[in-house]
Amino acid sequence: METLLEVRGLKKYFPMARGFLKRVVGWVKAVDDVSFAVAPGEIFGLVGESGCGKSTLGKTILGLHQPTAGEVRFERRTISGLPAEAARRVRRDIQYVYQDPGASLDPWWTVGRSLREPLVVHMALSRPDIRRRIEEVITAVGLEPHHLQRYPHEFSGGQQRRLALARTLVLSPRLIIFDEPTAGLDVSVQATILRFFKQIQAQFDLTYMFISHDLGIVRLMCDKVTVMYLGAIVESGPTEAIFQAPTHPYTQALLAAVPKPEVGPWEGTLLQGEPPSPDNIPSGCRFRLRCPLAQPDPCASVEPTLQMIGTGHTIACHFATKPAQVASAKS
Amino acid sequence: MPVLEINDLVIDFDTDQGVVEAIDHLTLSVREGEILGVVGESGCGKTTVARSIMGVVPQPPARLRAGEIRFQGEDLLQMAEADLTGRIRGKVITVIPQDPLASLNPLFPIGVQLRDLLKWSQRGQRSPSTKANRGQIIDLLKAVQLPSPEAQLRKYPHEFSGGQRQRLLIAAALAPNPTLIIADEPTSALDVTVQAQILLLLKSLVNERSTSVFLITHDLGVVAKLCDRVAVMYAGQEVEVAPTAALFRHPSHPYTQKLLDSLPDRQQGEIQGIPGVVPGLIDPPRGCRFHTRCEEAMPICREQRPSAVELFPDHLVRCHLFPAEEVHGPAACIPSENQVRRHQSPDDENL
Repeated sequence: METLLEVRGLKKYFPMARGFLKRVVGWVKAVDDVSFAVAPGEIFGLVGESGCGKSTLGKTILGLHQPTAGEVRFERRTISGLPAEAARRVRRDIQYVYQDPGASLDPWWTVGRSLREPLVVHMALSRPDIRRRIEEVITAVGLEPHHLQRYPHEFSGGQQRRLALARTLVLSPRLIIFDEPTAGLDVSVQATILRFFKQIQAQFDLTYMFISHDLGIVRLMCDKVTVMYLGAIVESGPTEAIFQAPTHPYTQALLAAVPKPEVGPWEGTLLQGEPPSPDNIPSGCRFRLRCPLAQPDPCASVEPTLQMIGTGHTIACHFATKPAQVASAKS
Repeated sequence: MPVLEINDLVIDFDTDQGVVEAIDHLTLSVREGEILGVVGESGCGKTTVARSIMGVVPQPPARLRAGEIRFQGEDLLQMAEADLTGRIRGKVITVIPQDPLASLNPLFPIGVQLRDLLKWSQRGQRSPSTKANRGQIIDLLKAVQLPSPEAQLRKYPHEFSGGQRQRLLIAAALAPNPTLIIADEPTSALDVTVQAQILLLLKSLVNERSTSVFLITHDLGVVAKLCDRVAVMYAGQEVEVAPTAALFRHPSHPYTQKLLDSLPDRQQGEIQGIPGVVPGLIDPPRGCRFHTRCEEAMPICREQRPSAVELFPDHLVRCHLFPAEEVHGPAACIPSENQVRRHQSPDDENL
């Protein structure tokens, strides 16, 4: 299989410093030995609850964090740990769309200036070429060239998402990482924006990585889904396999917990308690404290590794082997 | 018998840009022991309604133009401020807020905060002994399933996790044994696995005590799992009010239908959305406020505000597609196929 992005044994630990001398007293293991591959043209989903490390993973791939261990490969070249100049060249191909569109648009700059900035930084283009490129992109995201004179606050939430995407598209990237791209939008606008993201993906032949806590969105958008819990991957596979036959007890519980817009009781097992803090990850299987299947042996002592259970479908669990049959409203 | 009746409520806000017509002739009721879900997109006025029930909408800039809010027969809008504080707020009507950290004082242990709350609700009565109050607080913490309640009393808010803080606020809202609880997006800051626990807990606690709940949410999934009836709001008006099962089975107002079509979980094939944006409420659209985004809009929709029609028993819709004079007997209550597009998923029949 052709691979665009490959992550191998990636770890990102943040030190916890205490006291006057800022002595390191422990490590927050935000991303703890994660490996996966993304094929070109794919929409790759990364789901998990807050604090599971999905955003840290996205930012480490982009190079905003230096990995503690492991490597990130893009088009068969290692891109983690590169010197600044080389890293900048790679960053043209990998773009990041932030949760808050305000983060990528300067409130004091016109939209046109915000869109011009990345072109000036990354590409040596003549003024008319820059202008042509910006107008092409602003039209592609469903806005008009005259919008370039306006300021970010003059746009609605949905339009701001379009602009945030436009700012990445001017550089013709290969991979776009979306971090909770529709957080804070109303459902009716969210649906329109998601449809727009899909259309842009097809039009510009892009690869997407979609980081979200919303399983409904991931199901709708993604070809493959990876579920993270406390910094590690617990289950990964084609979207339909994950949603039709979730196998890891955490994936099953996560799907059961989402209140479906159908009248009736909650189906499946609901978890008790809350995830432990990533600075104090349980020994053995990191999910065992909330797991309905956990046994003292081997769950407390041996960390499960990812096992293949179907085509491209892997899980990390000592016990779960059979998928739960989930009655689907979609089938 | 409704515990709370909101009749024909009109609230405007004076702003520098003009008059915002935030609530436009809203009529809603909460019955005894039921959970009423109030759904709508941001800016539709759901929080303003909740605040006006508590009498905490600042005037100015707000102006209460018309209407009444009757709580067990008494009009809260006509009540003196002293009466509201003395008899209503924190006694018979309590609130579960959205952000638990902003609602707990960081400088006091939660035992002290819960005790003060309980004492507040006991003003004017012969107050029970300190020991009895302590016992009651511990019972409440047990009810919201916090482990080892005695040990929790001395802890400060920051020592609790997000889910535990929300449990504390549910305990606080239940403390005076209120008749009505107003819950404003009580779980929107929580992760799904924690949200499920908290919602199920809330439902069982209020059902046990037959407390009525006015639940504000933007999440139709939460409505489906929790509420007995639903009111869908759009731009300051209620557009459809129905028992939950009926609303999901026969969504009748075009806005409700579109809202359900927008949910990722209900998408079939092409992703739907609602074209356009929610209108600004300074000089809002005349007639039906949804007509600017409605595919089925007719000339009358631009001129005349639709009145509420009981389409099915207990199922009210405000839409000109269902004219009042045409709906009479049971036969007329069954809308034609193009009026009610069915939103059924295959397992809908097993409900």
